[in-house]
Amino acid sequence: MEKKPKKIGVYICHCGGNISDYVDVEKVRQAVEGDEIVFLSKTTMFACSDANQRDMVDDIKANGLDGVVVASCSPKLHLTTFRNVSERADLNKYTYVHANIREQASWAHSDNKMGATEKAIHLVKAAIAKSHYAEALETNKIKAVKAVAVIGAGVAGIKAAISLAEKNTEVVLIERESEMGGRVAQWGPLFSTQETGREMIDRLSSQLKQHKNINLLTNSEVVENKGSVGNIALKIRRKDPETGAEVMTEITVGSVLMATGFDYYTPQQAEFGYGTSDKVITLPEFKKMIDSQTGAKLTHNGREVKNIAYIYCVGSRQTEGENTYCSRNCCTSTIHAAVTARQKFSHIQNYHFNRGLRTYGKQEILYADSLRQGDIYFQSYEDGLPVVSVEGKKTIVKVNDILTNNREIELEADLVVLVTGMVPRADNSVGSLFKLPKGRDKFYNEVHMKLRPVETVIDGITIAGACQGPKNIAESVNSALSAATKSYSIISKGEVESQPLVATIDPAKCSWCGACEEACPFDAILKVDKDGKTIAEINNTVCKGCGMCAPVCEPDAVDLIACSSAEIMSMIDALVTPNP
Amino acid sequence: MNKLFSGTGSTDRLILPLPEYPLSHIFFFKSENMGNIQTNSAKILVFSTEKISDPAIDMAGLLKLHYPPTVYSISIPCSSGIKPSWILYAYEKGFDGVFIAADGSDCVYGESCTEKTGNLVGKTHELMKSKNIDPARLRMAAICSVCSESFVKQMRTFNEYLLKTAPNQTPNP
Repeated sequence: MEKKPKKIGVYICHCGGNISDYVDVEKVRQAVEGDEIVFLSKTTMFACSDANQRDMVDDIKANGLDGVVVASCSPKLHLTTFRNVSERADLNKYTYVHANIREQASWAHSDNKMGATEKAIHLVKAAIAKSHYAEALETNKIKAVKAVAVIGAGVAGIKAAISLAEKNTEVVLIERESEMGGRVAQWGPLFSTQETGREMIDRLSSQLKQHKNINLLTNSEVVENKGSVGNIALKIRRKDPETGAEVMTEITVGSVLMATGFDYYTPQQAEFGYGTSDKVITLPEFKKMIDSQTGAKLTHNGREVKNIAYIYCVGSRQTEGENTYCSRNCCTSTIHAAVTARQKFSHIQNYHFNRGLRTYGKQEILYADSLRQGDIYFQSYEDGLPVVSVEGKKTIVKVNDILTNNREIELEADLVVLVTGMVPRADNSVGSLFKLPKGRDKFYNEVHMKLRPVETVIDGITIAGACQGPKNIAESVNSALSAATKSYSIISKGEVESQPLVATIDPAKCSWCGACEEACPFDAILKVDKDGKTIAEINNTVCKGCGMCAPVCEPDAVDLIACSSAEIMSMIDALVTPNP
Repeated sequence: MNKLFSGTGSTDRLILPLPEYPLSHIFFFKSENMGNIQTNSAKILVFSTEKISDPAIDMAGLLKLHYPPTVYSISIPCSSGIKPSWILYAYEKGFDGVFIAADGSDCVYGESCTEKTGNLVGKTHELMKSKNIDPARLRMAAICSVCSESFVKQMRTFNEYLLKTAPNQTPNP
């Protein structure tokens, strides 16, 4: 039976005047109205308005349209809006195609109205060409296990686990160490309450134990994962702390929340005197020192400490080195440690060699406290970092201070504290298991730092805390609660939808060479025997639709749904054909 | 000489990385088959990516940063999924240049994207040479979501280059 020709509706938006001030929208409409599949074409003042959305639904139903193209603003803003309109009119949402004639035509070419109009016509024609191929697609619905694995029982992991448990979700909290608490449990008094890190963790721990639906596994590591969002099977290796015997456990969860934390930066040998002078230590070492020492005098290696030099941004904001990022919490942490030390040992004097302080928000209170108690601040740029030298028994810190017109400052320090920041975990084995992408800073990467800040490109895997990048406790807890809510939202319905925009294999062209399997970062290509022939097959529940498998296929047997060769080439035809 | 490399060279065309955002991968080539284009702006097809470079191109519009209106973008999920046949088809149908606004190291599908996109560009360049198409008509640069100015500068310099060189080379049959 011959396929019925498509009938689509095209809507060209004025966007108030944002588009029509520069693009002749009526000319665009006239240019596309004669296309063979365009059944109706309209201009509209605001395509996204409720009134227009209702009109679109009526148009689709009254005229039996098979698809819709809206030419308006960026799809980032309204792709979902118009897909929903299609669904309300009983059309499959994947039959909808969007054309961006605002950001990429009217605004980008507001200096050339004729050029902007010509471009808008081409863009709408390309969208219509794409619409030829926009078929109804069914989202795959997979049964989801209503349980979440939280990996890492630091402050972020604990808070996430409690939050999930409060939502009546089964939680498996997996911790590699023998105790919960991570870094925070090692810290003394915290800004701004004086509660110690240990006390905070103990408080959270008692809350956690009240939830029967949290299963805490300490001395445990995830060593294998299989499946995909909704059904993620994890193999966990648990070590008996007394006998050292290893037991393997298998669990299945719907989502995984990663809260694996960070490592401290370890200075290189001789970096600011580290390793060459016993008076040079790191910030975590200093914090332990002031927390553990009692008495009137602060001592280090049996010698009294009076002058303390803090050198900031060691291992952060590097101009030569991998860590170009700011580690965010070290300025506050250092000043808090300095204030605490001064309150505890009144005879000490703090000297801060910084590159610009970042005690943002309420943490500025600490900076004010530090100034009030007489701390002295020197500042330099990255091209004039402080120099630490050992002269006999003396450890000297020198800098040209930009706050005093580059005056050379020289300090004999009893102790030099290197303000070391956060770096990604050196052991990334669990991240590699889940194939979690890392950003430029080598921390785990979110999909979008503002709009999807705790989701990863791996469906069902969320991230929280400092495994995503340097964060203080408050920020870690914020992201943990956000990630817990996101993980919960994934599994709460008991089923998950997977995007149908995946790769496809043409069995007639494929004769299995393995190139696509090698190119796929998600293990979504299966080697199967079909009709006496070995070919590739796509595992739709694992495929992310990135298309990395397509260009490497010599016989061109791989295509991507909604991005097929036929579709792309038809769009190229539409873009290149001169407008009449 | 048509080789894939980065860095400076006295006889080769150089696109400097922009100081505000270093581009991780820029490919450039010694130009061949020089000629003239009769229009004010060259037709450039941009393959941009939904999550990374599309936002930069959109933001260029939002900031009213102007570039030639004959620059058209087709959105794809990831730059490492571009087929060389699409690029060759674009030249065949009349595009003067193709620009890949690559994900670079920001790709949400993983860090192998940069290498894979580089490989497909290298492969396409070989195919272009075999069809006697100037490889400099294909450019690639990492355009992340904040690289609006970088994108606009790339489009302007690419347009200038294409206006000075011949788009009407005759592909081999």
